[in-house]
Amino acid sequence: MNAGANPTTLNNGPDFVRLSIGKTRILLHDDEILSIEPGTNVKQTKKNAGRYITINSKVIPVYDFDEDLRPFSTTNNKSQICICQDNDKNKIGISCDDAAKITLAEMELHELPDCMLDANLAIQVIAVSNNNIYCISNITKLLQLVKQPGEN
Amino acid sequence: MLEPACKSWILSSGNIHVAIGEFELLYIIAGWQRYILVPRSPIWCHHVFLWQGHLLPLFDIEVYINTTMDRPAAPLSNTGDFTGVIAYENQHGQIHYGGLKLSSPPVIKVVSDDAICDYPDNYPEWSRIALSCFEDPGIGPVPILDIQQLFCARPQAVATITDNTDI
Repeated sequence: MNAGANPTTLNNGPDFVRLSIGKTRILLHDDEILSIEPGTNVKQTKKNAGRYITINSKVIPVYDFDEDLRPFSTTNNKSQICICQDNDKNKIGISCDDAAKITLAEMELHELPDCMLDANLAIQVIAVSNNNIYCISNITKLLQLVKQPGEN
Repeated sequence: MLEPACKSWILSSGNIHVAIGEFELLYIIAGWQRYILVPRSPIWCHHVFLWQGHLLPLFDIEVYINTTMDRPAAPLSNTGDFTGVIAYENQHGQIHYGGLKLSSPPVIKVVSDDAICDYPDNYPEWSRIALSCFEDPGIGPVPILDIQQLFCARPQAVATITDNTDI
């Protein structure tokens, strides 16, 4: 399935959480999301070594991405923090403008063509629902982006 | 390979002029078009758009050439200008569609075999993305794009040109 080929249509598909970062809309599978917390709960580490949020006495690192999913350092809090967990039980918080659970009716999935795939394969599939376009990713890929900051 | 007196569309991307086959250009979109940024995609193919139920990549040839030549990329514009909807075959013979960002409407020209010429010197790696080149009386050398190579090659296969060019 590639650009121009017939997309896959999902009716009553899986639930997602939609993260808005600038103009970019990211979909993460619902089962990767632990909670959505207010951005005001984010703290800065004392030595400016990053930001974190404490939930149930556990310290979880918080990461900021721009709308091109490039991590950057900031002291400004966005509105919400999406607390996520990958298959290895690694927990991270992703700062975003808005996060909400979403069930997309008649969602079409389109694979990106090869000319658009980056080395990290951060985004491989685009979801289209009611002419709204979303980028599907997962926590494992977002964590890889955090571990490789500043790359093109 | 050009046949005698065949027709080609001449496409303009900033200061870059290229050509594609008569039947490769399906549609021309003029004016505003909603492009959506795809994070982490190459700067020369950084947006997608919907066209007749298909999701198409938007390829900017001028930005591609500037980037591979290590020149500053032209600022990406999300509005105005023109978009050409192109049909191409992938490696498996399937028909797919892509968008090319254009700075002016395409012009159709009749091209004959005796117009074949060398690639222009504005980009030393034309042979990577073009099949051939013909001389246009008004423009000069116009490379004929290898559409499949543009849309089907992974970005990692695109190397920035250095002083030591591998042959």
